[in-house]
Amino acid sequence: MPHEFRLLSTGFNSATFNMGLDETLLHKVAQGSSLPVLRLYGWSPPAISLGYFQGLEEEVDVNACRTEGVDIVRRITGGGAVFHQHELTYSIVLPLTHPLAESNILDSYRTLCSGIVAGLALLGIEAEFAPINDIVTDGRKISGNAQTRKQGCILQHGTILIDVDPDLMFRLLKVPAEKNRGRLIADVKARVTSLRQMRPEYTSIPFESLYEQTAQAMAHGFTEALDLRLIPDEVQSEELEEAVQRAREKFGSWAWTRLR
Amino acid sequence: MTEKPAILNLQGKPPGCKLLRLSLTLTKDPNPIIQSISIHGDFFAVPEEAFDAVERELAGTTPAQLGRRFNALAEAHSLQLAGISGDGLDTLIASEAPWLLNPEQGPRHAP
Repeated sequence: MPHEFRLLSTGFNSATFNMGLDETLLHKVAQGSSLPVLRLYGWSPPAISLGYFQGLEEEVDVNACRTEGVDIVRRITGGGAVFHQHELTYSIVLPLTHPLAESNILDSYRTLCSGIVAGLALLGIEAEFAPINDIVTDGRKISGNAQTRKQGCILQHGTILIDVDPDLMFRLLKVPAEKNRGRLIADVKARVTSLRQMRPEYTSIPFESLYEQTAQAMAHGFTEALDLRLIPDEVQSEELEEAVQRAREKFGSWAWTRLR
Repeated sequence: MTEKPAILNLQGKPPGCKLLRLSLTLTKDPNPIIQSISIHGDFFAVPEEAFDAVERELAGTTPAQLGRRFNALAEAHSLQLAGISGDGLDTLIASEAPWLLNPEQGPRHAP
């Protein structure tokens, strides 16, 4: 019997709202007031999200982000710094008691990431899971993922790169020495890819259309890989209120952003 | 007069680990003790708040004991780790600050 999940497509929002809503959904699923959730979303304005264990000043050029109009937010999940611009982001929330919840985190990444692998196949891209938390195609990373477990639930979120701009990314991230910038950019270009790079025919499709196409593919991919029955839904007013409050009081606070 | 502690910053990607950045505050003894440590990086540790406790409880450890003590504390706090390990911390110190493991040899560069 398929597993019922709410499907939330929440469009493009700010970094603090996106993280506030992910944490709110975790809380709601933990309370039992929501079914498990698959959420698909984008970022406006573009943003850098920091992993929980990363040092802000070590990783991000705060002034450059301000100049470029790029937000900064610290996630509740670990992992590396992510530049969110031309991508689809997903989050999936389920109780630890759910049949799809693996007790071992490494196994859990593999299981949940199978939805993305299936979604990419629908977009004509053959990909595979690469432990610990990546999805690669032709040996290059096209998706990164991060998971936490709180309040008896799993929250995993991650990105599917539609396009990538390493030059802009390295204006925003700290590099050990300026002389390394060119090498780092070349390294990312060699190790990271995107839908548009893998399928040049997507280059002529406007980003917003490709985002919708990718979202549909991912919804189908998760459905197929995890045997889901997705119930399209809207964010409830109480959830919206809580997400806005979390965005304002936690994710938008300098104390949280500068936690490390 | 009490000597100020030495602060040592190390970073690297030991085998099996994600990027790790250590900031060690060490006593200025012939055999230094870690007064405090902060461990930053691209790794995962769940529950995250328990990792903060592990960092605090590593105070008083010697650099040579860091990996073993880290593993013991992680287990005590029921941490699930990915991209970081006690072996990784030991490897990082051995490659970037080997004099901490053999204090008689002294640092190549003053911290």
